[in-house]
Amino acid sequence: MTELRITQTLIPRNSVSSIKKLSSELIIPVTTDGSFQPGTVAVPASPSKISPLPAFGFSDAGWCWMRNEGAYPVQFGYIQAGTLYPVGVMKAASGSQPAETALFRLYSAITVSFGLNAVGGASSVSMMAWKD
Amino acid sequence: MAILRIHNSIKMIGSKSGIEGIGNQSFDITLDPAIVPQPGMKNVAPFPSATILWNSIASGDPGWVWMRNIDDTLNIKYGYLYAILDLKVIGLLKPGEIASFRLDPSSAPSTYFAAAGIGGTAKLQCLVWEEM
Repeated sequence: MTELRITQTLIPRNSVSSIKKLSSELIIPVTTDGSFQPGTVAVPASPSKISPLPAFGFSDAGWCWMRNEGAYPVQFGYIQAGTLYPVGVMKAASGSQPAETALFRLYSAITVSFGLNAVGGASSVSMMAWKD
Repeated sequence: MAILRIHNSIKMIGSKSGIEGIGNQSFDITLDPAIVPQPGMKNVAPFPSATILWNSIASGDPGWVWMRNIDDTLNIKYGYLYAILDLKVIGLLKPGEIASFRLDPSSAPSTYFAAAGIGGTAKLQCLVWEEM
């Protein structure tokens, strides 16, 4: 059986007394039909649909991990008629700080509704997605 | 200085295809010491209604969001609340699943970031931290 092991941890540093460590691990069965979609997505400085998910049909959903690989922040969200309704953003690497990531399950119909937008200049995102 | 270290990881295991997908990264955000984390257990309204998840995050306030579906049976979807009964969905949380990403601050998250239970009112654990 092929599975995804998903781990997510939030660790307070420097004695942040009001915050406790949060840690989650999930094991998710995934298909073995080749729908694993790794890729690097060029992200223009204008709203655009993602394009590297050909195995995802209209009603498909699945887990997704993304990392900003460019020099500018990348927004992600719902795209409709050329307008992006941004929900999240990933900052680019800066100095000693690595680039940010996002981890979540994509909703269905993602190939027609999921959009990216680089802020301030073109960027790129590495993306891995597994269809349910 | 209060720092929150975030670790998002996803790994495909047990694959016989020879393809190994691994996304693994840690990075830090510096927290605003004047703002305590906004914890919450939310009962999110059944779709097509939706529930705004935070009420006090203004535009320009960057923050990290962490959510977990703590409902026993219901799925939860979330996204950009464009108008009443118009939730532009990007993500899905099955029971027990989590999501972790930076909220986009170009609009006030307290005006757009919302979730809805699928098939009924569902329970969602959600936290957000504001950054300096």
